[in-house]
Amino acid sequence: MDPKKYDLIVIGGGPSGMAAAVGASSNDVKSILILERMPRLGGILNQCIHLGFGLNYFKKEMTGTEYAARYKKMVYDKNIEIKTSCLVHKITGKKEVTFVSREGEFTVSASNLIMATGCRERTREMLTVPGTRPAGIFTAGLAQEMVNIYGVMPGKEVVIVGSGDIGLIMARRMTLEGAKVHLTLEIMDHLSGLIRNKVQCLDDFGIPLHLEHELMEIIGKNRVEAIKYRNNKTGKEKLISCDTILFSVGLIPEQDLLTDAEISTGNGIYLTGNADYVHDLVDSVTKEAEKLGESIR
Amino acid sequence: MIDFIIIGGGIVGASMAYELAKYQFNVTLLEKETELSFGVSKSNSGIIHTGFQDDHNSLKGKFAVRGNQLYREMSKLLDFPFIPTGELVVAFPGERESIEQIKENGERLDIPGLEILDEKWLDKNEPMLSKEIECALLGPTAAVINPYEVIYAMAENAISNGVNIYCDNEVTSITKIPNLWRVKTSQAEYESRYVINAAGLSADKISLMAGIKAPEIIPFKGEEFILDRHADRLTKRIIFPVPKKHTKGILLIPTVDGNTMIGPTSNEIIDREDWSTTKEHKQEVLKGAQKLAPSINEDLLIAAFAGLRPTIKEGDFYIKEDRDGFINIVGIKSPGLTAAPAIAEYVVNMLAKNITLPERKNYNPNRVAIPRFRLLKTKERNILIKRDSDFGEVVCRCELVTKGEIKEAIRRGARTLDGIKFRTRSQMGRCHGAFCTSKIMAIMSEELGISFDKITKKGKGSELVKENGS
Repeated sequence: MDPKKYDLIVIGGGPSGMAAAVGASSNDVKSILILERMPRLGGILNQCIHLGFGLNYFKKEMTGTEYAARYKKMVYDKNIEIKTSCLVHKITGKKEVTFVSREGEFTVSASNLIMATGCRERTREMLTVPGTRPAGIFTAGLAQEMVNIYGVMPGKEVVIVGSGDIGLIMARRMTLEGAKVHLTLEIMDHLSGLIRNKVQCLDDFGIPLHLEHELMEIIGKNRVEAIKYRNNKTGKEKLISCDTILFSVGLIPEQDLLTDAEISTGNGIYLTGNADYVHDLVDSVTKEAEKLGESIR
Repeated sequence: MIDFIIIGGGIVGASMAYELAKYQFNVTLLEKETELSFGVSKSNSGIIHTGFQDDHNSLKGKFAVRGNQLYREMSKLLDFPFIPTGELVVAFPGERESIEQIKENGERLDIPGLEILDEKWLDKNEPMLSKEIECALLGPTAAVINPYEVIYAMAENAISNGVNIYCDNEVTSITKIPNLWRVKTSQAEYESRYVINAAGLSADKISLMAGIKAPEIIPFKGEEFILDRHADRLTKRIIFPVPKKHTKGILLIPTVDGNTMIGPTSNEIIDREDWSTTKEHKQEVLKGAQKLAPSINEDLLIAAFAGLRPTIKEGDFYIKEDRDGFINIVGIKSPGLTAAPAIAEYVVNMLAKNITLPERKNYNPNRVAIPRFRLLKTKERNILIKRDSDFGEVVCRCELVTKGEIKEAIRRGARTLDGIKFRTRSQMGRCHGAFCTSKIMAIMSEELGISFDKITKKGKGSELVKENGS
C-alpha cells in the first residue's frame, strides 16, 4: 500500500511549525499534517513562562505559554490535521516521513515537507570541559524544563556558563526560586544573549557577568562541588564552590533528519524557524514561517 | 548457609557469578556501588584482545586467548553484541621487527589468522590510516563489546539460576570462623564457605580485611575520547601502535555503537576515585590518534571519560587461594576484560581439585536482551508496540529509545540514570540527555515509587535534584 499522501507535512509543532501550517492553510493548501513529538503543540514555548514574547507579532507583551496558547487557537481554527506524541525519525528524498507513536510506526508522504524541528543546546561534552562528570551539570534548557514543567529544583548554588539567553533567563528563574546564582562566565568579550535579558535577569538581581572568563575544570565526585575558572585577560585562576552548573553555550539547528537521509533542502523540502538558523525572537520565527507556508503551492 | 560470596560486581565478579551459577551452590555477590559495573569495568575500552600482546608464558596471554573464545559462545547464549572487528598493530619505519616478535609470540599462543600486511593492503582496506605506516600485523580474532552490557547479561543469567546480587552493599570486615568466613557489610552480615575477592581497585584492601597481604593496587588512569557518529567508524579494525613497556598505547577503537573511540592515556595516580579528565591528556590522546589517522581533529570529539586500571607491580594477574576458602583475584588490568571469563573458568577448575561441583538442575543457559527499538524493522516494531504501547513512546530521540525499554531496564535492576544509560543507550546521543533526562526521571519516579529528589545519576550523593516542588 502506498503511504497516505498530504499536500504538506510539517515536522514539529512549535512556533515555526504552527506558523508554517497556518501560512499554508491561508494560502489554500488543502491537506496539511503537523507531526509533533510532545503531547501538545507549542514546542519550547511551553516551558517559557517569562515575559518577552509577542510584542512584534501580537503587538502585546506576553509569556511564551500565552504566545503558544494564542497561536494554537489560530491552528485549531484552520483545517489542519495534528498528530501529537508522534516522533519522526526518518525522512527520504521522496518526502516520505516515518514516525512512531503509541499506535505504531507509520510512513506518510507529501508534496511538500517543512522541517520545523527547532534547535538543541550545545552541551558540556561538546566543549570537552576537563574535570569530573558528577550530577549537577545541566543545559539551561533542561534546568528550565525541570523547574517550570516538573516543579523541581536542580540546585541551590549555581554558576552559569555562557551568556546565551536561556542561561540569563535561568539565572533569574533560579534566583526567584531561592537558589544563589554566583556568577555568569562568558569566554568571549561580549554578551551572547539580548541586552534586555542581561539587564532584567542579571543586573536587577546583582548577578555578576564575567566576560573573557573561561571554565577550566569541573570538580566533584558525585555531585558538583566547585569549578575552577580563569580570567583570560589576566591569566588568573579562581575556584568557587557550587553544586550546579548550567550551560548556555550556544544552540545548534536540528537538521539531523536531513543529514541522516543525506539530502538537503530544495525540491519541496524546506527548513524554517530555528531549524534553519537560530533566531533571537519567536515573533520573527512566526513571521518567517508564515511567509514560507504562504509560498507553498 | 552461603557457599560462595563474591566481592565485587565488575567483569570479574560477574564472570564468577555466571560460572558458579552452573553448579548447585548458594552464591551471593556483593557490590559497594549502586549498580554492577560502576567501578573499573564501566569505563573500559571494550576490546576483546587476540592475546598476542601478552607473553605466551603469562596468565595474561593464556587467559586472553581463552577468554576471546569464550566471549564468542557467550554472546550467543546471553544475547549481547560482540563485533568481530579484528585488529591491526601498525609499524612505522623501523618498527617491523617489533610486530614480527608480536606475531611470533601470538603463534606460540596458537592465535589463528596472524598475518603481516603491506602498505598496499592497508591503502585498500584501511584508507584512513597514516601513509607513513609501513606494514601491520593483523589479528582477526580481536573484537569489541560493551563491558557493562556483558556484566548485566551475565548477572541476569546468574540471577535466573538462583544467584543473589546485592548492590549498595560495601564490605566492612572479614573474619575467619571455624570452617567459614564471616563477612560484614554496610547492610548485613553473611557467613560463607568461600570468599572470592574480585574487588578491583579495592582488592588489596579487601584482602587485608581477611588478614592476607595481597599485592598492592596502584591505580593507573586512562582517559578516552569519543568521536561523533557522523564521523563514521574511521577504521574497520581496532588500530594499535607498537606497544610500550607498560601500555598498549593510544588506539583507535571502532565501538559497538558505531562511534570511534580514541585513547587511552596511562598515568599512575594516587586517588582511587579520581575519574577526572584533563586538557593536557586530551591533547596527548589527539596527538597519538592523529599519528595513526591524520584526519582526526578536535571538533569531532563529543565525549570524554576516564577509567582506572587496578595495576600491581608483579605484572601478571594474581589469582590464588591464599588461605583456606579465600580466593584472591587481584591486579586484573588489561587484558582483564578479555580474560575475565577464562579467569572464572580457571578458578572453578582450581576448586574442582578440592570439592565436588554438582551441576545445577534446570540450569538456564540463556538470557534475552532488552529489545532495542532502534535496531528493529518496522514489522517487528509494530508487533512490539501492539503488545505494549510503551514501545511506541520515544523517550530518547537521539538514540530512539522508547519508554518500554526504559521500563524494562528498571525491571531488570536499573536504579540510576547511568544504569539506565548503560542498559538502553538513552542519554548517550548527540544531545547528551538534554531532551530525555527529565522524561526518564519521570518514568523512574513512577516505576520505583520515589520522588525526583531521590533519583541519582550513579548512586547516593549524586542526586540530580535538590528539592521537590509541592
